[in-house]
Amino acid sequence: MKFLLIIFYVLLISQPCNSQLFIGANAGTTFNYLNTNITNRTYTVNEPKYGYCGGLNVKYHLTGSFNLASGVLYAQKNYSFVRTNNYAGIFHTTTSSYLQIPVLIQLQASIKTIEICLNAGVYGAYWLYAYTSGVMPNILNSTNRVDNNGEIFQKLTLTQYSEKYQFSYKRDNRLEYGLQTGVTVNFNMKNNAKLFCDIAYMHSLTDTQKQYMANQTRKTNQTIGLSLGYLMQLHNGKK
Amino acid sequence: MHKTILLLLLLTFASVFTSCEKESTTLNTPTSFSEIFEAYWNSMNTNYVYWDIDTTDWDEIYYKYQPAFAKLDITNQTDAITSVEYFRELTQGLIDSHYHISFTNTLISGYFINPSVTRKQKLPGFHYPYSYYQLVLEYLDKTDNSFGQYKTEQLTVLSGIIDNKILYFGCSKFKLYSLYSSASENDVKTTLQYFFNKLANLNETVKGIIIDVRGNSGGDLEDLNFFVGHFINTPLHFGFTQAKSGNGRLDFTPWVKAVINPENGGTDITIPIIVLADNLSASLSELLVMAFKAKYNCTVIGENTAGATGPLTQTKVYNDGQFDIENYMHVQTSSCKFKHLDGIIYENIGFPPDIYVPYNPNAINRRKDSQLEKAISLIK
Repeated sequence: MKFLLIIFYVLLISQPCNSQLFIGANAGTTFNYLNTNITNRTYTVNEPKYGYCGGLNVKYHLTGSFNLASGVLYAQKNYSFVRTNNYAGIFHTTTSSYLQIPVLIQLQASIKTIEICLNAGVYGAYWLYAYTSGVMPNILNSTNRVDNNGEIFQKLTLTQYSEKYQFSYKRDNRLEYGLQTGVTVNFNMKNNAKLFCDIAYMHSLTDTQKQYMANQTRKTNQTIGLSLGYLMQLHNGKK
Repeated sequence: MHKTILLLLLLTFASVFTSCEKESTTLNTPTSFSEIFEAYWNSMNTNYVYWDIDTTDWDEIYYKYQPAFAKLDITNQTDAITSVEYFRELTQGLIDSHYHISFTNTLISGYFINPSVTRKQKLPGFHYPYSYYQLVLEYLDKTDNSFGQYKTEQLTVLSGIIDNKILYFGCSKFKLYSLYSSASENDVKTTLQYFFNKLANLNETVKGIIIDVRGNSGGDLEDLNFFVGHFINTPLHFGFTQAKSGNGRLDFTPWVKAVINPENGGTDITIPIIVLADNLSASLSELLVMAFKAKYNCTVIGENTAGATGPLTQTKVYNDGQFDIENYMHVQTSSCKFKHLDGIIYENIGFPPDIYVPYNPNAINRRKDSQLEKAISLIK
């Protein structure tokens, strides 16, 4: 939050004559993939999962075709390990919520009332909380039964779970930073307001785990965000 | 300026398509001791379920033993024996009491490592198994008992009435359901039918039940539900299990409830149940002790159990537990952690008795079973 306030403060006090400052809000969906290696886990696939995102946006016109964009964003970065074949029905899903601050340079081109912006920059995020849910085999609830041929077969009982993820100081790295790129399309409206559609790709450079063991397999988030938003001009400095 | 922005965008997009992930070791046929150790060490990271409570510094093990294994020659028998000693050293502190290594390589076949047994043999009060059944027979009503053996499985079961007031059942290991459901007749089945029939038709003269799992090293997991399910008519929550959820040492599933469901015809046994256990009661025997303790009317007499509480199953079920390194070794390790209803993990500790009565060889020599006599005195 301090970082966001600093950005606001810098933008407000260093406003040049031709500057334009927009603030707004957006909401949408995320699609996250946990980049890791689980090839040793039999009948298991690593599936990306959808989530939600939304936040407050700040856009500051720098000069010519360039804007500075930032804000504060809530983003879910979810993933699931799903069992297949004989173990179909078993899965482990992690739903993680992050508070994220991007700092992006926008290269803008205009066609009539439409602005197309190419975005590139960095982001920092904090892992707020998470939930785990899924279905797992429960061998202590399982029983063997005899089939019609007299053969014993194991009746594997599956147990559902859903609970808040307990962060471990030793294991979990709750700070994340990475690179962000994407495209924003602005639709200019009356009164210098804009409706926008934004697609962003966020590539974490940090592991979701601390380096707590040797030969550790990395786990990094790779997230696509798609959102719609609204920006309104806070100040028009043209004289 | 535009070139700078273009470069920035290109760099950012490039990062999308490049990532560096360390491949985990998956090795079928090792060609050197370095490969064997790497495969073993990595499999332990993934498959061992006690990393959150085991104090072994596994990274330190890697840095110490990786260079040592690298110096060994896989074709040299002396080096192969040295590798066994290295494995013995590096596993000595692991708390999983199911943990053992057997070697499948012809140079060292027959070598066996069991850290838990090695530790227990050094403890005061350690004793080897004693088969109580002939002694217990002397306490049973001579005309109302059933004794069964299944010699190919080294399984003995015994049931009967003591003093016309106590129903007794004991078994040396668990393969009960398998034999009970067998199409062919066998002595174990006969004894189980005798016991379950008595249990389902308890008359008022029976004041208590003694379940004897002393020296019982465990066995088939399904016997837990099959046997205890005859004592309940509603599900019995007796603990929790937890398995690995990922490859990291500290990747775990949540704890899920371990519940025993009633068997068909199961009745809620409300008279006192006394379980006899000793420090050789292991694995499923301990789970049975803890399941009965979750009932309000159970007392445990004897010694601490063995402390091998984590259940075993096939590796594929949880993607953890036992694993093999082809043509070299088999590693047995628990598939799950078990936590009793009281919130304690008794692995490597053993479940404590309510009344401590130690193994007494002098009394046994006088044909006196002091643990059984204590149980009888409580019911009377």
